[in-house]
Amino acid sequence: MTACRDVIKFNHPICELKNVVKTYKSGEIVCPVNGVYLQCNAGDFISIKGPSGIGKSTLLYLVGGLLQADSGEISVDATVLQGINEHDLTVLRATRIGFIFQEINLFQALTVGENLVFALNIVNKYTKNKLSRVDINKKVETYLERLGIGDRREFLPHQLSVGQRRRLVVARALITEPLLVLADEPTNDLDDFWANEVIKLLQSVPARGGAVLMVTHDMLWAEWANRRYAMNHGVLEPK
Amino acid sequence: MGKFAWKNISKRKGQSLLTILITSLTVMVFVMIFAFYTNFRQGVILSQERLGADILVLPNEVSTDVYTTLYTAEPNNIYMPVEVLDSIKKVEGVALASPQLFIQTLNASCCAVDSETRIIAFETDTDFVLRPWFDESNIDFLADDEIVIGCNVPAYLGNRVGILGDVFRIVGTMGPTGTGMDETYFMNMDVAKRLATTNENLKEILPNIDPQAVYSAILIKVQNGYNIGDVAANIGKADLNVTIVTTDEVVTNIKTQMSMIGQVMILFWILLLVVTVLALIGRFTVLAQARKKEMGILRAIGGQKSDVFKWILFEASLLASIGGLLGSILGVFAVGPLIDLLKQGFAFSMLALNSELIVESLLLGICMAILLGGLAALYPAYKSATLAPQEVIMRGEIC
Repeated sequence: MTACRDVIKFNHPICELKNVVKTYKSGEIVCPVNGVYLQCNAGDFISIKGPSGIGKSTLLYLVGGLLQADSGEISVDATVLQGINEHDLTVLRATRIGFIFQEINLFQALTVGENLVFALNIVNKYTKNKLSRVDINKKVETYLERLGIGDRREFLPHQLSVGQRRRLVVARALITEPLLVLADEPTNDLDDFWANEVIKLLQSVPARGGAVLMVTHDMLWAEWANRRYAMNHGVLEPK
Repeated sequence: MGKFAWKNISKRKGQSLLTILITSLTVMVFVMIFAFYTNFRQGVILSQERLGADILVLPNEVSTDVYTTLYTAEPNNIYMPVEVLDSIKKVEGVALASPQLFIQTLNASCCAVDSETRIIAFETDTDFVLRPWFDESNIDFLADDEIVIGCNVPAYLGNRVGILGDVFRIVGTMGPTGTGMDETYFMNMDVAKRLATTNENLKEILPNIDPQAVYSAILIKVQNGYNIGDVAANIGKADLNVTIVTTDEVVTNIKTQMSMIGQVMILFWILLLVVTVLALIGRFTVLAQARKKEMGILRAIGGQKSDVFKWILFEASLLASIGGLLGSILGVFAVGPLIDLLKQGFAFSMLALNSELIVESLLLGICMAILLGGLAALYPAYKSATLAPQEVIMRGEIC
């Protein structure tokens, strides 16, 4: 659509984190991200693993501009997030970033198909070469088929199984063809077959010049990444 | 956002119905108050316009119940000597003076009309009050066996009706006045006097009254250039033992009563409005809370703050509009029986609801509902729009 370049350039930085620190005060002060450095280039599939509660999700939210770092610098597609205004940050999120949240969050009043159309329509708002209704429908159909929920297009989210909902969340993040995919435990609730399919889909992002930053506690899926890190005491350690 | 808001409403029926119910009840009460008050006001204006006379002269005994005499259909057998008319005609400033005689039908098996209904008899030569009404109905002349009926009088046996033993032909129906005239029979003075003299049952109701020698009311038109109050004072000086009422005075008194009732209604209405806005703010806050996660998703996938604001405002306005439409329709349906009920207990002039007022009430109800909904949704919409996306997505998820 828009996010990926017409001419694919690999190895140029898509996102960079320089000495990023984030602390919370919940009773006591906790510091889940404590001086993280990371450069994520086009073509990268990076996995970050670690036990629950260590700060992996926080790191993804920082990169996605949903959280503000206390210090350090984060840039996405050469745009430094610190100091950027709310409107531009939202546009950046819409056109450059795709989120797969750990928790399944869908628009409950919209059908499976409408959830995807809604996401595409929002991105359409910010782009010059807008997708036509026909293109949107074709794209929705392709992603739903690919993730095995093509026959559930008119279903409401609550009528799906947990695994099907998870796949819908993945489809929503990928259908806009973002430059950077932030995936928080994307294989949760999935059997091996569909987990494998999701990972394959994620791999198509770096293949077209984008990048994936995936958080997982599952060693098996972490192995599919070309760069692997473990999060420990608020910093990333290469594995 | 419109389609999205509609989907949210239609897919969450239980919550939506509660909000619609609150709105529709408020709008229903509002529409009822509005329609009732407007109808009441229109009735008074119409009465003023159509009363015709500048001054009414009634027997002294009526003084405490002048409104009942003028505005209800209750039979009111009050009389004064016919000589009063001659005296009044001599008073300076009196242009026209026309007498009327009030008699009534009886609850008697011999009569076709089976309830007590007022009959107003008038002189065709001098009448200037009823004439315009008859003209509207294309009635040129009233023969001895002909009567005209008020718009709410039921006709018996097609166009014939039996009154006090005689059969009369109904030659016309008067337009609505909102007064007791709507439930009255109108006939010639001579005929009425003959009936009152010969009917034995009526004689019992009017003992010691010689119908040939009395009138019930004298309606006066003041000459141009004369002050109504001055002419009324001149009549008073003639010491005729009568009650003199200027129609301005009647209408002013009714308007004063109307204004007081209106103030009380407005007070209740404002209270109702405040309670409803608070209730709706509560409803819309709950609505926004229930969509918090989805707002977070919307922001995360590229929705602006304004999109969240519009979403909540649109959804609230849509709910309020539906409630408004329902409430307006219910209100319009309910106000008719309310007016009928109040007509029985108050000596006020009220008309039947007209289509113009119905449309006006409907539109006003819907507009009020949208305004009310929009107003009540502003705060929850603003709060929702200013929430940081991570706050709504990540709560319980972060770590």
